[in-house]
Amino acid sequence: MRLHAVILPATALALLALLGMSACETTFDAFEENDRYFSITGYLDAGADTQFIRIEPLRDSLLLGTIPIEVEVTLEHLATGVKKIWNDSLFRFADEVYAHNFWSAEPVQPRETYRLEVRQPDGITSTALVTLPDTFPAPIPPQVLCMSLHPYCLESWVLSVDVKGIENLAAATAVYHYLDPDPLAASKCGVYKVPYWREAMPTQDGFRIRIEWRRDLEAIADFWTVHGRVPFFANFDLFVAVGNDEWPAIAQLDQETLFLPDVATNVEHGVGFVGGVLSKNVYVYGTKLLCE
Amino acid sequence: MPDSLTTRHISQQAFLLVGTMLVALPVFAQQVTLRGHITDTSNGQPLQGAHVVLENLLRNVQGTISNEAGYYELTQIPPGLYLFQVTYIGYTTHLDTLRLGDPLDLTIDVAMIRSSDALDEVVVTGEKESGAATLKAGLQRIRPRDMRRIPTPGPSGDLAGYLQTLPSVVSMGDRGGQLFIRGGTPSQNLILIDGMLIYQPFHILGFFSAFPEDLVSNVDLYAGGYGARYTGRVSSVIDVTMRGGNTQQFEGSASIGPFLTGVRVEGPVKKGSTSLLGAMRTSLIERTAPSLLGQDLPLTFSDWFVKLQHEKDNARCSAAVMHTYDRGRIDVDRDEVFRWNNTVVGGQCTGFTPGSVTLANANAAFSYAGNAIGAADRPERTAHVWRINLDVNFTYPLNETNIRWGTFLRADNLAYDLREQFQNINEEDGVLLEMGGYVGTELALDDHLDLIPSLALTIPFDHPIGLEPRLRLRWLPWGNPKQELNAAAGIYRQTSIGISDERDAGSVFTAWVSSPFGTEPTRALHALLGWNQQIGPFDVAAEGYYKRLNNLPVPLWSTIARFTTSLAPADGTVWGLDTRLEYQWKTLYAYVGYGYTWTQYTAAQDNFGVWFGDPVQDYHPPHDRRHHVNTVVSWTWRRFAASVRWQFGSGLPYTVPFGFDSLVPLPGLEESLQEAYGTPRILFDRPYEGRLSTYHRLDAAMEYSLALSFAALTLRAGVLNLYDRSNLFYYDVFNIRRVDQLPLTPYLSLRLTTL
Repeated sequence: MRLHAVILPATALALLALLGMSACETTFDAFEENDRYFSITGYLDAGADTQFIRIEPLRDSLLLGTIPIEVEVTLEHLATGVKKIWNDSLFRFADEVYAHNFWSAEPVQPRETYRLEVRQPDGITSTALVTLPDTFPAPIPPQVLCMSLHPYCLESWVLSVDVKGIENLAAATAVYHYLDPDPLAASKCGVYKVPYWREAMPTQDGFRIRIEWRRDLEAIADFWTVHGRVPFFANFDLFVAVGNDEWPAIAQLDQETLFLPDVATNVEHGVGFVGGVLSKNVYVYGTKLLCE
Repeated sequence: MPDSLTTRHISQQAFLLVGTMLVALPVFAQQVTLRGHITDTSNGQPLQGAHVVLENLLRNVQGTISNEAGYYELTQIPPGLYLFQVTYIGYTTHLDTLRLGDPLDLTIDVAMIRSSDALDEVVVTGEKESGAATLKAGLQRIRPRDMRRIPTPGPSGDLAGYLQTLPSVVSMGDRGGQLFIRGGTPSQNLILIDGMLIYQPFHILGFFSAFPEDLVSNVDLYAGGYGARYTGRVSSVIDVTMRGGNTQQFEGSASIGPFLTGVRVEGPVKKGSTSLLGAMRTSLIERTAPSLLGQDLPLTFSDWFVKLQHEKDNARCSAAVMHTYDRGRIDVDRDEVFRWNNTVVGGQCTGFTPGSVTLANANAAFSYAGNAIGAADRPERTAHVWRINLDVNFTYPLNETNIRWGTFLRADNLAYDLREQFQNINEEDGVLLEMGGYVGTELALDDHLDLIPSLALTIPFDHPIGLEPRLRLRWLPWGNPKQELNAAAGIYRQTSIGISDERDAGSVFTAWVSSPFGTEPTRALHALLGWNQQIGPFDVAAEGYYKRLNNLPVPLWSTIARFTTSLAPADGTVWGLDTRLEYQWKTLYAYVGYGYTWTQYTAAQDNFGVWFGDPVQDYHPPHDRRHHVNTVVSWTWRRFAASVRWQFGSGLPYTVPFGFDSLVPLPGLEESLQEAYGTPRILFDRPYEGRLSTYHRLDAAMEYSLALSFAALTLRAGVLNLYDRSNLFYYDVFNIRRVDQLPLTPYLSLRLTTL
């Protein structure tokens, strides 16, 4: 038998078989099945009267919108076993941009360990274990006689504040309050925050924060002066927070690394990070505005 | 070392090199040299691959094969009486008796006469000149009839359609015009048209290129292991020789189909010696797709080509111009419009002066490519590149061998504005100069073993000088070409490289840049070993290959879903096996090819260290198609021709996401959850760990030729994707949306060719 006598029918049969493959399943799911269910971000603050944690299902699209979430969020105090249920609230940030921030007015205590649990009705659960840092004495700022850009104000342009009795500085933010000179502004009270935690210098028992207040006031004046009307600077607070033992590692990561899902996380069966801090607001100078 | 001294040192070396290469070797042959051109008598076209044999009374045989210009040369012939025979498939054998001895240098041009029934009679023996199974150490010769066998939705075959049937070649889909050859990327392929560089000749609709069957004379495809004549690219060479116009009579053709329309005219400027050929094509698919496919296909392309060719006595010269244009949206639902165009102008001369045995070839060319992406009237990123190339090449017959050498001078202008896509290269406009040369020989050690060593020297003005040794080997263990072993190895360098964002499979934007990592160019090592076996009507080729690539620019991998990134160096390793089986009996042709390729990049990036514990990670890049199967069956019967092709490809790698969220950075507690939404974050697994779904498709075409009183009418009807498989082109993870390749697509094309 000539070879071609075999090849022709074989080819025809092969083509028929291939035609039969038209019924092949061609669906494709690009997403990987995994045991990460929720993105949980935020921190417990023993110095705050209300706690907020961002909880989102790991959505399967970047298309922003309202992602329904049907979960029960509880915070358990491990030492006592007391469990409190948190409230859901949907925050709107822009058109079609929403996020679920769960909150609770139940206080949390320094040095205590808590377990945050996010549970769906079908049992799917993500958890985070958080230990809060120890308390620390409120920093005492130096007395300031004047804080103004006027030439008669002869105060040093740099103000140093010592935060003592801490190991991990989580935040140090200068908070300036001013009156907005723009008559069309929605709120007359303006707040200008300048972070100083990166420049904080370690000391023997804490950190020294050097606040360049004059530079900050100049920035406020430059930015908010409207038609020659200069904003009125009213008062100045220092917000400081101490972080728990995990905090230094988180604080040192750059943004690229922070985005890595398996690096900056303490969430079981999920992604994100729940920190533990204790914050204090320290009055430094000025008069409180009525609109604050 | 001071700059001036370095420059002077380089200049001295360059001068010595050029001087050495330009000095012709002395003529000392006292025996007879016979040479000439083999052409087709009907149109004056050169016939490449014609067998030229001299046989004396003692039955001693000396022979050679004509090259792409139809040129042949036999040297060191003792004076005497000989039978002179020229054979070529499809042509009547030319026989003559020659008395050689005076003069010592004899030129005999042979015009071969077509034999209408020769194809049916011929039994292929000895070496085949083209076909998929003629793969020899990476080299495959492609002829127009090979392209014609592939069902292509146009009025004729096309090089792009043919290349995609080869196990060595991976395309990302049926649009984009990107071809990856044995693990190399498109910008690592050296594509030449009549010796002139062309940057992006493959059209945005992947079935078509600037090289349709009716304009091409010959293609030498080196999937690796090429000799030192080719420099400046590290992966492959596609050396296309376009045919000249008919030197005997005017002729032309016009064609139309749902995908494209075109015209071709050609004829003698001076009968018998000078011809002009012009061809133009433009796509129609953007207009016909809504009714043909029931969907938009916003892809447009066009090309035109003009070639003036002159042939007289001992020389053949040509001048050619080619222009191509491509525009379209790869993804219909995205606003990104890709545009690119090529312009190539140049000329070449090949010949020898009487009294000299040295064959000389000179090329001069200007090549330009422009690339843009963005809105149609406001491109966001642009890139332009042009090259001026001058090269001369010599072949000197010495005893039983040829010595080949040549030199070149190139000036490249690279200009781009990438709008911070890559942080370490944003905007540039500069000229790179490079000169160099090569020398090589063909050593026939005995009847069984041929060695082709060669050495390239490249002298870029802003990179270190490079030496690139290469070796090709052919061994006939039993002394005949039915069984042969081929091997090749070599070192390759590339100083300017095309970069694209491999993170986005839908992006075909390419910017040409100088090596982004200082003076270190991209380098490669090739090693190939293959076996060819002829068994009756079957030809079998199997070839294993290895490529080592160094200093590849790859986008820095990031889990942040963002456009801006940096380029980082990576090394690549490619292993593969390329197997082909061809069968031919009369006009029945069948081919099966299977390719296995394993491509891996190794990159060191800080992110890898943080996430995976080791900053050095291995991954398979997006073009790592592991398995690739192609089958082609074609058959001609009288005025009918039919062909089918089935393709299968295993899934391409992609980076698997497992979700999205928004990230509010906690350090410093600078943003509160009540006030900030955060930055959208895509949560990726390790890079390119996933695989897209497999791909397979059946295409079929049937052709019928009808002789009219004034012309020949050819009808080609066919179907793409005959069983309408939904083949994934790419997946848009941001919008949970798949983009598929073409569905079942019928077409009917007409071509009218003057008689």
